[in-house]
Order: sequence, then structure tokens, then C-alpha cells
Amino acid sequence: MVSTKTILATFLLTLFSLSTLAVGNPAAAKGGMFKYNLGMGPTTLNPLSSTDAYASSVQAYIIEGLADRNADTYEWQPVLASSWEISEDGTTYTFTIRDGVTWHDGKPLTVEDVKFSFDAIVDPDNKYKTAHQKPYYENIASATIIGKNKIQFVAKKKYFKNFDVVAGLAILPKHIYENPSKKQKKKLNKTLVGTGPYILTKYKRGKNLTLTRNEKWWGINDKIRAGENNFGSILMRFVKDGTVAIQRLQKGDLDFNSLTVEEYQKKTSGPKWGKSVFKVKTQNKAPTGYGFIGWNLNNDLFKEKDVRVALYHLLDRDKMIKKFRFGMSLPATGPIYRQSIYANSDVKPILFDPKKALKLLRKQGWADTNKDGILDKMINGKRVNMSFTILEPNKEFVKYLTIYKEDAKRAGVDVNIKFVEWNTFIKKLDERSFEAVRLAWSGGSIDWDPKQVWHSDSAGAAGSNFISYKNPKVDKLIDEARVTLDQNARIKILKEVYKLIAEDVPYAFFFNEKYRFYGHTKRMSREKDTYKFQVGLNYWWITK
Amino acid sequence: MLKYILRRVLLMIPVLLGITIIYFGIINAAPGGPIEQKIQQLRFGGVGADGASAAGNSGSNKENAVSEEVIEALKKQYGFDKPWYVRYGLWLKNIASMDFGESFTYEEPALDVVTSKFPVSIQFGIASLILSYLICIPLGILKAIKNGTGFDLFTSVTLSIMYAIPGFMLGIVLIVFFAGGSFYEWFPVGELYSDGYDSMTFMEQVIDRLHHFVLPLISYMISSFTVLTLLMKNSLLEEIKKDYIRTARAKGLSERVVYLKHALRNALIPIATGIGSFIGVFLAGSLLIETIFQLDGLGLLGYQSLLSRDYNVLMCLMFFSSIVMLVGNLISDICYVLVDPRIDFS
Repeated sequence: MVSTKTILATFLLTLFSLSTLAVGNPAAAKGGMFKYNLGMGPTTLNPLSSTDAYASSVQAYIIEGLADRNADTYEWQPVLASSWEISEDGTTYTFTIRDGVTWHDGKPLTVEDVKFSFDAIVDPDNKYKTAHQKPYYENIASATIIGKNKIQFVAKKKYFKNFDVVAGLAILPKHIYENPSKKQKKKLNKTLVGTGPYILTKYKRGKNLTLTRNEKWWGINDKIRAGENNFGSILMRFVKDGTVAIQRLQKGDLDFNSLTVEEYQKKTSGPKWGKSVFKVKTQNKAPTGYGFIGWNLNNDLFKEKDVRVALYHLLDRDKMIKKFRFGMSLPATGPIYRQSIYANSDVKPILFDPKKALKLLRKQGWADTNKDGILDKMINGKRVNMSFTILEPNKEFVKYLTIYKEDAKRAGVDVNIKFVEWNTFIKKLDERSFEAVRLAWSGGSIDWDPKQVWHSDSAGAAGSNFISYKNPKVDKLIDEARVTLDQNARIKILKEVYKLIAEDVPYAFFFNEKYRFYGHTKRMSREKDTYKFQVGLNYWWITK
Repeated sequence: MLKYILRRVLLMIPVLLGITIIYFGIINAAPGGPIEQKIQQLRFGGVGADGASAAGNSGSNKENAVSEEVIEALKKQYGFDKPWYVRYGLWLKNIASMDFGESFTYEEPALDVVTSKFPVSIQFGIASLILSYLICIPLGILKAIKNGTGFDLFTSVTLSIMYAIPGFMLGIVLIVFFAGGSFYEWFPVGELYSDGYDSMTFMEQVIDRLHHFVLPLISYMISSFTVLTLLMKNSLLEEIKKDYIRTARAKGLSERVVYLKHALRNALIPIATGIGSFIGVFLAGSLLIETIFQLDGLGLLGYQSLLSRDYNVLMCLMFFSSIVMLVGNLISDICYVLVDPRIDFS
């Protein structure tokens, strides 16, 4: 991230990333076919309209942005832009486009392509079916060509992620994606033309696709990129079933496969493991998600913080981790994964303690007056039982809630679990018609912006703050963090946000993952098990 | 007969219309449509039913809620700015010219998406149809002839066990034992053909496909033998008790002739009529088996389209399977006439 101090030093600062450390092994062998499991076939490859993660995984090898992040230092490095300037107020970004870059079809990359890539997304008539991308670019007002190879993006307001959005813009060839005919459109679903290190050479729908190394890639002679993209080709298979994927890894049909804890522990034994296939357990700082029970804070039952803390104390996470997760998870402490640079390590997890829970509930006036085994209390002149339903969209997770239900019952709290189909679940969230929900947030980005989930502005319809969490202090800090461009200053603010949210106990947070697991074949070589912010498959190579 | 067939074909039209209206109504009434799906993708990173997950800390410059403009743009993009009955009318008008609209997820004509999956499902459909009739009819006859013997008991037990095995479970077991890297590597793990398929000779290609075909086909068919075999056996036993068989035996005909010439033809009536409904299975595909063996078939397509609320693909699938079902029923009835002279529809 760019530090404001440096920006203050000169009115305009040009960032050359020569200082960034090259990642990977420059002496890595080039060539060979890397067999990778994509999981499922992409629905469409068109980078403007595609919405599925499978398509983005393929596009990542073929389409490039203006800059990317170093896997170890997380610093921005130039890709299709050779340099950039950021105005002092952090709202104007001027990129100089790299010379001598060609598209996979041989045509040169121009600044026009960059402008088109932005304009296509924000097109007011939605000509390119990019509605799903529009929210990301809502804060960018315009892209203007200001020179032969210079383009300037202007943001509507200061926000620390403006640069991420612009730098991450997928640059597309204007001559291919602009106003395609109906016939061309169909072709764009199954083809991809970019500037990236790999060229899509074969696509068998429903079976696999093949990427071949781009020998004219600009990065081949770039010092920083010397250890990147070493495979001669990449064969992407679509194996959805986990068990089958492991069998294919053993056979050598796949060279790499991510593993779940359970697969790592239970499905990776056999004569070939340790000889021709290997499994790895490693730790890095890549974002991981966490599950949670969210309390509807508009519901009288959950309005008191003491009650929420008490309900949290009835959640036996240690037992769950031991029983279902092979002891390899950590109890979560707050609104982002514990390994994050924004997480506050001073916050301690609220652990299983039924005695404490009962004490807190009694303090709030909950007692079993009618001797039916469930705590009750007079609220607004009505006798209310401590009884609620948790909506659960994932059958797999019911077993965790069942443990919770049993433990809560012993403390006089009646928990019901109701499994609902995903679409119905979302509808209930949007209508706010629930008492408690079980959901999970995925890791998202390394740079945390809590606004979408924790700001009171997001408590409105269709916002992600569906539990209606409102804390003016948190709001103020989130707003402040969003306009703080200096990462270190932002870390300070967000650590405070983390602590405040954790203290309010709006969720009962479940687990953070301690490790990541994967399996690979013997012919795969790598510098290390993982880089700081990603496993770094792009830096692996194949030994003959 | 021709008149009858014509009448039946004409009757299909109102039936189809009824089915499509009901189906269209149901999928439109179900919570979450394509628009909601897209909005969820904006808000929740597009993770669907297989687990609740979301891009809460998403790496984007996103305002907290999806703006009205975006929702309007989406609605227009997918034609949801009109009420459902207007959309149904449009859909009906379009299918007259075989235009089933565009798939929301694949961004190409729904018809192309569906027909591209036909080959896989039809291959398995035809293979299992032929195989099951080839195996079940002789086996059923044999069981009837040897009714009550050890052979009969043994095959009955075997068939019952087969019937109880879920196909997808068997699929996993077969892969682990005969195709994975753990025990025997006799077969490939899924897919329809090998990676180097394009560079093979024709004969090699055929063998390669057959090689890939074995395990999924076994999983696909494991439970389908039982019903047909027992149906054959029981209907033959039923026939054997009848008077005309006694007559035939009294005439001194050999058991073989009695069974195979006299009784079999009548015993085949219930079997023949099953062919029609069997055709429906062609188009059903099997989600679990297709997932396990990485076959890109109709089962998987139907399931995914349902999850992503890809209305046009769903309607297209439903339209075809309704037609196949109706045609199958017609074929069944015609078979009746062919094998049973007592039945006359005219």
C-alpha cells in the first residue's frame, strides 16, 4: 500500500517497483505439463459477463491487470502499467502503459484497450452485461487518455481501495470485445484473448481446457518475474468430487489438489503417499473465512449484551474442534480471521463456560419460574421463554449446532435448528424474518473494509448487516479507515474496530483455520510450502 | 390405428401447454430468481447452496447495498422488467421457432446448452436399455423355468442386494478399488475418453471409450436389473398357469416350445410396455453419477440450472423431457397393440 508520508515528500510520486523482491526461483526449470483441478467447467469465459469463480481462475492466467501484488511482501508491482502516479489527495491515478506488449493474437496493446476495459464495465446501457461488476467501480468517475500511453482514472471520493480497483481492472482487447456480432458473442464464451503468460489453446466443454505458455509474454525478460509461470502448459480438469480428485492425484492425472482437514487426515494414506504423492500442511496469511451464529439484534431476546455473551459461553468450540476438525482450527475471536494484519490479538476468545452463562442470564432476570426446564422472563408484560430458532443453510453444519443445542438445553436455553434451502434462506435474511442465523463469511480480501457487514448504513434492505448491528463508534472508525490511505494508520484504526465489535458480541464466531492443506505429485518442485499471502502455485516448476 | 396415433399426437399439445404453464409458474414462484442470484453474487461472492459463504470482507470498492440502478440494469438484462405471464407468452411465442431463450449462466441459447449434453446421457441411456433387456429377459425366463431351485434363490438374493446398492456409492467404491491409485488400476477414473483421444486411430478410440464406459455404466445400471428381471419371471409364471398352456402340454409339446413359443409372447406384454417409460430415463441423467465420473450430462445440468435458477435452461429441459415422456407413453400403447392382438384402440 502506498504510504501518505512518501506522497507528502513530493507532490506527485512515481512508484517504481524495482525495490520489490522478486518471488520464485529464477533458475526454475521451464516446461512440462501441470495438471490442475479447476473443480468445474466455467459457464462462460467472457471476462466482461462471467460471474463464476471457475472462469476467474482461468482468466487469471490469460488476462492481466495494470498491477498485481507481490506474494510475499504484498507490495504492488507493475504488470501492464510500467509505472503510476497517485495524486496527493488520493483520488487521481495516472498509469503509464508498458511498451511492446502484444495480445495473444499478435496485435499490440494500446492505451485505448485500457480505456475500453473500464468503459465497457460502467456502460450505462449495460451493453456488455457487466451489472455484477458495476458496484466495484461505482466510486471511479472516469478514465481519460492523457497521452500516447498514459491514462488517468479519477475517483469520486477518497477511499483506500480505489487503487486496488483500478490496478486490478482486467485489461481486454478492444478490437475483440467491442460490439461483437451475435456470432462473435458465442465465440467469446469459449475463447479468451489476453496479454498474460498463458494462451488458451484448447477447450473441451465439460472435460478440460489447456493453456500453453506464451513465449512472447512481456514478463519473460523481466527480472521480477523470472521465477514465475514456469509450466510449459497447464491442463485444467473439472473434477468436482473430492474423493475422486484424490484418486486422480494418486494416479498422476492431477499434479495438485487442495485438501480439506478431513481429507488430509483420513484419505491420504496408501502405498503411494510419501513416494509418488505428498501431502503438505502449511500456514500463511491468506484470507480465510469463519462461520458464525448471528443474533437478530432487533429481537428482544438478544438486545442485552449479557445475554449474547451468555449464549456464546454455551458454545463448546473446543469440543467441536476436537470432534469434527481434528484439533486443527482455532476458536475465532472477532470479525476477521485471527492471522490477519487487522485482527486484534488482545481480544481473547469467549470459551465454553455454562456456569458463567447462567450467572449472566440470572443477572438479566432470566429464571425458570414455571419449572419446565426452560428459562423465562417477563418482557413488556409478557412471559417470554429463552427459546429461539437458528436458520441453517448448510446440512453439513447441523452437527455443530446439535452440540450447541444439547449444551444449551442443560443450561435451560431452548435452541431449535431449522435447515432452509439457500434461496429461501437469503429471502429470510433480506426480510429480516429470523431470530438467529448460521452463516459464514469467506476470506475476501487481505485489506479489510468492514463497512459492508458492520456499518449501520449496511443495515438497510439488502445490506449485509442483516443482524442490524449499530454502534456509532464503530461507524465513525470505519468511515475514518476508509479514507486512510496509509496502511499502518489503518491497521491501528481497524484493530480498534475489531476489538469494539468483538466486545459487542453481535455474532457467536466459530472457527478460524490454522492451516491449509494440499497434495501434490512428486514431479512438482517449489521454493517453499507457501508464501506469506498465498501458496504460490505460479512459482512452482516441474522436474523431469 | 393411424387415426388413433394422430389423435394422441394432437392431444399432446394441450397437455404440454398445461405442463409448461404449471412449471413456469412454479419456478417463478420459487424464492430467488436469476436476478436475486446475481444480486447474491454481488453480496455474497456468488456462493450458493453447497455452503453458506460470502465475500463479506470482499476486496472491492463496494458500497454496502446493491444500488437500484444495478438491479434495474440486471432486470432489463434478463427481461424481468415484465410480469411473469407476459414472459410466459413471450416464451411460448419463441418456442414456436425453437428459440428457448438464452441461458443466464452460459450466455448462449438454452437449446444449445441442453443439446450439447444429449450425447452423454443418450449414450448411457441406450447402452443401459439394450443391456438390461438383453440380460433381464433371458434371466427372467431362466428363473421362471427353474422356479424354486437353488439357482433361482441365489439370483433373487443377488438381485435384491444389487437393488439396494445406491449407484453413486458403488461408483466411488469402484473408482477406489479398480481405477484409483490405491488398489488396482484397471480402468480410468471417469470422463468419457482419454486425454490423447484426438491422436488415436478409430479403433483405438472405440476401445478407449468402451474402457471409460464400464464403471459408470455399472453404477448407472446396478439397480435397474432387478425390477425388469422379476417382472419377466413373474409374468411368465403367471402365463404358465393358464389353460392354453395346459392344452399345449397335453398336445405333447416339449417344455421348451411351451415356454418360449406359447407362453413367452404373452408374458412379454408387460415388458414391452415398459420400453416407453424407459425412454424417459434417457433424458433424466443422473446427477450423482455424473458428478463422480465427471460426465457432462443432463443430470448435472438440471441440478446446476435449478440452483442458479437458470429458467430458460430449466424450461428447455422440462419441455424435452415432457415430450419424451408423452412420446414414450404413446410408444408403450402402440407396443401393446403390436404384442397383444386382443387390444384394439380403434
